[in-house]
Amino acid sequence: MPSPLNLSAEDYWADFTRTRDEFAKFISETGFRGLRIDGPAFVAIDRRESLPVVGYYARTLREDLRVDPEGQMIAAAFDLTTRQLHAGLALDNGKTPDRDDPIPPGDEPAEGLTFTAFSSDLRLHLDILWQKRKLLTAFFICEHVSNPVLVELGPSPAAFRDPAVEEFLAQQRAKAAMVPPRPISPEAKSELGVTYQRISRSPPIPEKRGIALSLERVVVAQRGASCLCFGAFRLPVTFGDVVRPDIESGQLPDVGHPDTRAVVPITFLVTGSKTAGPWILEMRVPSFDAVALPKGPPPPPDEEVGEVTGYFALDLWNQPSMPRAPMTYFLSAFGGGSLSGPFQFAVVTEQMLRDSTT
Amino acid sequence: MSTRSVFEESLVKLTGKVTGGKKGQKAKFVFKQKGGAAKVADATVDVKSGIAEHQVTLPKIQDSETSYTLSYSIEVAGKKKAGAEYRIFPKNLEIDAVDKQKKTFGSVEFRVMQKTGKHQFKCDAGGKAPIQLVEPATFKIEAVAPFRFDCWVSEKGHKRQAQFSRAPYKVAFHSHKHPHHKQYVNLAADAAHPDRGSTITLKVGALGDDKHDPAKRKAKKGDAIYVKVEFDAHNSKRSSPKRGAVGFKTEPDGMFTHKLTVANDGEAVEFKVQLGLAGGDKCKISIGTTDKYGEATLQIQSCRKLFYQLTVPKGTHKPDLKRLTAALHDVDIEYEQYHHLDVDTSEGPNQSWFPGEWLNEPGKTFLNIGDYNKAHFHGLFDDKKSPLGVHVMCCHTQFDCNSAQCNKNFLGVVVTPASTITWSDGHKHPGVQIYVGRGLFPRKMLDGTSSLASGTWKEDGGPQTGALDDADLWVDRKHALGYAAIRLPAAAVALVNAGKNVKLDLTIFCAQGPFLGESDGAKGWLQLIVIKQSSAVVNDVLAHELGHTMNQVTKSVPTGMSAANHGRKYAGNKHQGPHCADGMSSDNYAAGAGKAGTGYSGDFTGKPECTCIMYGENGKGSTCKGRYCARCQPFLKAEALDTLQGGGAGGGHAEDREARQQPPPPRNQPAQPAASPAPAAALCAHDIAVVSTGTGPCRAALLQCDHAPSAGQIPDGKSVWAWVGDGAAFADLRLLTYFHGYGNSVRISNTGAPATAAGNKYKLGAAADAFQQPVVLAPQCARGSSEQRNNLANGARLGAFIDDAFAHLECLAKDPSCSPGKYLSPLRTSGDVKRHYLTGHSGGGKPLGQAAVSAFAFAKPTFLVLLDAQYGYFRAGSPGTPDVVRQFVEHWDALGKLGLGQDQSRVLIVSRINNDSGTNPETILIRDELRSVNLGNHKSYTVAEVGVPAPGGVRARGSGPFPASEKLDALNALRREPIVVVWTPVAHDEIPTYFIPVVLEAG
Repeated sequence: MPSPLNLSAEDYWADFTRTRDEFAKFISETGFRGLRIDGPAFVAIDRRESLPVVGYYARTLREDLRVDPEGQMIAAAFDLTTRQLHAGLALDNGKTPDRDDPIPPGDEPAEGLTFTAFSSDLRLHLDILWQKRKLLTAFFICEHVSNPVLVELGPSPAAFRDPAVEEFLAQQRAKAAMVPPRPISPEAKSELGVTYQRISRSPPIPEKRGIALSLERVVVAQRGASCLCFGAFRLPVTFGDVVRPDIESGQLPDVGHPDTRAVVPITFLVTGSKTAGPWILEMRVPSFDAVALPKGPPPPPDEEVGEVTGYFALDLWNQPSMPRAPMTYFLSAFGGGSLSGPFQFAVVTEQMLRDSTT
Repeated sequence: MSTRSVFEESLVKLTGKVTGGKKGQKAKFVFKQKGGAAKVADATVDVKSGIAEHQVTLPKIQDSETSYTLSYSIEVAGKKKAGAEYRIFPKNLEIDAVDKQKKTFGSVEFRVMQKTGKHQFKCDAGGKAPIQLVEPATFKIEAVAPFRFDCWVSEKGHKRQAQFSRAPYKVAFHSHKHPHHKQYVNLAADAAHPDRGSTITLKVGALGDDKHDPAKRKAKKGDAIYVKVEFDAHNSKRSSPKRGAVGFKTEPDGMFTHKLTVANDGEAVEFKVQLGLAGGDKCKISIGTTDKYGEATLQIQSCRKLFYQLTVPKGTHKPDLKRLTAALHDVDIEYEQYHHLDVDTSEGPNQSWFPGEWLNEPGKTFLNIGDYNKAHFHGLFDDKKSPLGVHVMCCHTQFDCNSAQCNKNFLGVVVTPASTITWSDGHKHPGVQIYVGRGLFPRKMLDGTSSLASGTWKEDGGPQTGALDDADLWVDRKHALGYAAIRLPAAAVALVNAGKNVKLDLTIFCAQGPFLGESDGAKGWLQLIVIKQSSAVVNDVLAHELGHTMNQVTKSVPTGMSAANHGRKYAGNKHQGPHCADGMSSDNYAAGAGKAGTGYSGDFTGKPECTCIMYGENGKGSTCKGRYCARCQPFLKAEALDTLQGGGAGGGHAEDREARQQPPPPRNQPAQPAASPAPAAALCAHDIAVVSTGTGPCRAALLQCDHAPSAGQIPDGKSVWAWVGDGAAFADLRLLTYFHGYGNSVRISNTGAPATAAGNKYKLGAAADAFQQPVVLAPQCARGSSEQRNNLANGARLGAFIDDAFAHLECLAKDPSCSPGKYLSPLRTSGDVKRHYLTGHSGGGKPLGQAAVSAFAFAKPTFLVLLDAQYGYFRAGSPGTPDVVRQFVEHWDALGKLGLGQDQSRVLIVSRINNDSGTNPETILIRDELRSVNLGNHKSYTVAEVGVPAPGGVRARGSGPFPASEKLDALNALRREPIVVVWTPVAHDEIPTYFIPVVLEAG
């Protein structure tokens, strides 16, 4: 199957714009606007020193006047091994831009599209550990989210391998079944606006794997205000996510709710229209669905063992680091190897309310 | 008959043999005396067994005599027998020193010389010196330089008066004439330039002797010169190399004293002072012929010097760098231009020079430097001052031309019949204006070819197409900066004139930028600066980039300093790298994260209150004051600027080099242990190497470290159990520090025994050999609560201990039964440690709690491990501050270095379940503090837990094996999260044995 930009394994480190005309044709035919990225499916960490993710950003001429890709494009890599999200500016070159001369307003922009190519070394920009791991990468700019690209880091096939060590490590992994899932977070407390039960404003469970969100589209930043987020999910779970009884005691670990059958990591990535962010919120959400575990010896903790559903609702403004500055925000959700979103919400100030009524 | 000499008041036993006497016979002792304060009375005694015996106490001498004589005879039955003769001398005298005017002469030093030797005395301020003669005999006195003995005024009796004079010279500095001296401590020592190097050599001697012929010189062999070296209390906190005077006595409050001696007539005396590497440190040296020191003073101030080559486009005024040099002056750095180079338009590849019209300055030519040609221009750097030279490459603009983003593509741009543009001829033409970007020029900045890389037009909904070329593009940067005007060619014009739309497909070259300048990545000494901007911005950008090259903001922290003390450093927040937010309120700063829910959260851009040069942005409208702020200055002053090419670790590297190059002691002076480095062999003279057949053969050792945490505080406090395995990776040095709990000792013999020594008992060596191969140091800690002390491993102490222990290991040779070699060779220092496992068990939590927030733990990637040691040792030092574990976590998180990598820091806390050890409450407090966003915390941290504090039905074990499942649980958690709490049933005293291997295995 061709890669998203029809590139060969070597193109990412060479002339990745080799297929630019194909992309131009695609844009011409579809009117595509947004981000399309591509990356190497596998990076041999003993042979390569960078992790280039390349792509194109297509926008209208009007959008082009207000968007600064260097200052606003966000790269994210969700580490499927550690479930940690790394995110940062994708095209920051560390140089101090000179913005002394203002851009004049110009004529009314014509109809039409523009697109530029870009390449971002995620190892450099996101400080990715150069170790064996799988990363789900995506780029973000304003309302646009790119296609996700899965990149695997690991030793090259030519690297020395010791089968005995690999077998030993596999056995060790297989035995690593006793770590209970980390507790639910944030804690379910009505006073904090957090619940994991289905409520009237919960969106329906997605039919396919993913996360559905319902956000108040516009919220006013004022004393006592909330920024409510209602979610539902259908996501895969690994063996390590499943709440299992302790082998010796037979007791279930305390993960925060006694009926929890699995704890599913979900991570929000929030970007803004004026200030790119990103802001990150890590959650561990309970599912009360039963998970049928495979018979026989326990599988490794990172092995997928089923699919679960669940709900969550929380007040984003009760979570640390969530922004309140007035602008439009774009929320994307990483969970179980999938990326959902962006979901849009905006914050306005009381002053803006007053101004609108006068 | 010989005369016997005795002291006055001696008890003398006199005897005489009486032959042929009768029973009951009497004998009479008859004395003959010349002088003496009293007469010895004659005495009649009984003769016993033919012996006449009598004891007398000899009277004192008179004040008019120096001694007196006494002889005696024994008369028996009319016969007289002569006895011995004695000369009696005083024993205790008082010397009263006076000058020529017979006035009291205080503090005179002199020696009393008798046959058996010389003994030195010193008069008090009143000129009095009690002396005690060693021999009952005459004596002479000689004065100690600079005093001279003139004559006796009174040489008799018990109180004798001597006239002294003082040597007729004062002492002066022969090496440094000016009372104020500047020493460039970052420059390599050079005999031809004595003002270079951190160790300064000084010469002192008699005033004027350095100008006189040898025959006229005043100083005499043996003359004393007193020297006092005082370091200012406000000097930098940098602690390595340690400031001091070599061979001097260490006094309180940063003072060193010594009495030097003139080796030969007319010679000066040399001594050395280690000033350290920090800039702005002050040192006062006072000298004198007495210990009043007041005859000459030298004030030394340390300074650093950096150099730069200024390369400027020919015909352009070189930038005025006064603002930059003033900023550097604040931190005691002189920035010296050593080379100037003008480059003209023949220099550089391709389109390096471009016409002034492009910047609306016709008639001029400008130089652009970007990613496509900067290597050429930095190739003009004549790096004579390496590694202290900077290339300041000035250019008019900085645009990059090599990235894929430079080609901007346009598709389907619609030109309607109504679309017209004003062309360069002033007329309106059918066409369209398109925004491209600031890097759009009439020609490509890259190579001067057309900025229109390609262009076509086509009839919208029709078959006609055509090409666009360079003649159809007009770039008017004066009135429409960033815009391209595209004029339709005639065929297309015909279509729009016919009411049809035309669509354009274009690729236009647009350079990336403009930028204000840069330091070239890892080669920070190669700097670009755009000079077509305000002088203040030029200066501030240069100072900013130079600051990064000098490891700011706290990219590396010199020994003795703590990054946490900066208080406003931040990383990221939409700026690249570590910067300074001085001026920002504590509330908005929020420990570097930015106040949640505000425009500061994760975003420190555009904050006008931040005025330090090291704030993360600059340019027009900047509020930068052109100075390094008061928070940054101490770090800049403390930085070891012996290289700008240290790859970001200059401080540590410099310390290492300096530590290995201790200056030799001065000529003529014996080294004193107080201030001079002990000879290598002496350093480890009391250390013990374990034999090849012992426990921990050839790997374990017992060190006696003066800087061990408990040294001088508890019995055996200098003892350190150490382990250096065969696999210790010296190129990638790892260190495990282990603070043991109560009831333990680390002492071992050369057989490695006993098995109960903490290093053996907890199998630290086996764990180290199995995983990561760290060097292990286990210092003696408190054996009970009564031995707990404060100030064990806080501040710079932990780093000093590690340096000391490494020096011992470099000194200590392996036992002869082992392969030859030292335990650790070559010498390593704390700066070499790549990863540190900082662990403590039980009562060892006390030093661990201090070490967790020490300078070393904040400087090196550290795995902090609390092994059932949570007995209140980790509490906050003051109300309102988080516990030390959270401080540790916040520190590393602020640096973006909290994580699982080898260059990152992390935490493991182990607590025995059911509160069996009493460690559950503090463990819960630490965990909850890490998770809390209350109590002033601005960030919640994820704390992974393995197990629960009180699992129903599970009991803590008394002892026993470590179940594989429990171990794997812990390992798996450590493989996922940087902060882990393990609730374990493992017995309290087995926790180190079982969990230290887990720690090392997890990395």
